Amino acid sequence: MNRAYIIVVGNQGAGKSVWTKKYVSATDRLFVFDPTGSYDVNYDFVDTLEAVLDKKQSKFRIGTIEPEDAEIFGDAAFGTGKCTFVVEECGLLFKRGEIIEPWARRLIFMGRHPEVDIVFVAQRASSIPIDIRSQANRVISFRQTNSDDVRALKEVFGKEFSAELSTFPDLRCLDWELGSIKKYDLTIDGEPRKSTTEAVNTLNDTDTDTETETEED
Amino acid sequence: MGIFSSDDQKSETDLGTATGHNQTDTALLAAKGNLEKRRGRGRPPKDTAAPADNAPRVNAASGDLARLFDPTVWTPLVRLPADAMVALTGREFWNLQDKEAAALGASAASAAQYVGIENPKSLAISLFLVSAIVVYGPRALKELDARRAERAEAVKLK
Repeated sequence: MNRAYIIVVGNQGAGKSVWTKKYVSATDRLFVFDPTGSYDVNYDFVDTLEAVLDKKQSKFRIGTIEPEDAEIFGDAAFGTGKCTFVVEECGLLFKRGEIIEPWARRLIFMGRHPEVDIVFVAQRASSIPIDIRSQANRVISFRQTNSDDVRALKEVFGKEFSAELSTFPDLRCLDWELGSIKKYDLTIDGEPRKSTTEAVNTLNDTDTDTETETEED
Repeated sequence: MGIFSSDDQKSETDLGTATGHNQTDTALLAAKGNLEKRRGRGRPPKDTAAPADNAPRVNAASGDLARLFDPTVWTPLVRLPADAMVALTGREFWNLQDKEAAALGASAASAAQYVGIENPKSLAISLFLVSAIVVYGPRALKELDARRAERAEAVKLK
């Protein structure tokens, strides 16, 4: 079973929430932990969640702004399956160097079985615990200005492209997925601007050249 | 996968030996249990089924408490300080106009709804005690005043 396990990082205002909101815009089974309460979901979730857990409701888009609700959401996501769980500002829930709680470990390491897609959003790549980072099959990075964060992303994007990250304007990102990297700008609605999309690298043990192609609108 | 592999952090991957299916059941039960606790943090339940311990369940939206949130119930209470001062001093400017009292009563009723949701029993008892003070308080003050006047009159005549 494949599942999406995505990490989205970027400085404040660089575009990571724009990307994430677009990604989940059509999702009809969605849990969101969002301290800012800005997603298009139902934050008055208690009754809806009860119906979901009792299998009386199959479609839902619910969210919470409270960190203490994240465990309920994580357990509910794992228990119900075939859903997406977005964790915004994951630094509020998971601190580097601290042990990850059992509900989160279950979701991270066994979430593939109930087909739970996860999106972790953070301002700094280096602040995400290794257990969370290690499972990612897609990494989106917007502007990162701290050298520790750029260094953390070097493994994913390579030295050359990770060095560019500190110069990115808002809404520009690098998108690593299963070995291939694209660079593109988002529109304000979160769509990649086709004219800006470049396949900047395909990871290959022997490949040291960069291939670039530009798609026109 | 293995990206982000070089890091000085230790990886904690011990998940125990439970099977995937058991983990699903465990997660569901945990979610349900924590959701019930979450309800207890200030959200009234949607259903009003009788609890096992037979204690009366009060729902703020039910008729039981609707009367407590009626502004006309609160108007005499919010008039109490003014009425008390009229009784003590006899000065007419302490009298509240009807619309002043109505405005105070309406805002007090709104505020009471939030207190009521949290602790309806205390609200009901408090409301009774304050109502009793509203009814008897000014009369008691007038009685004391009248007796003082009678004693003063009696002293004069001696």
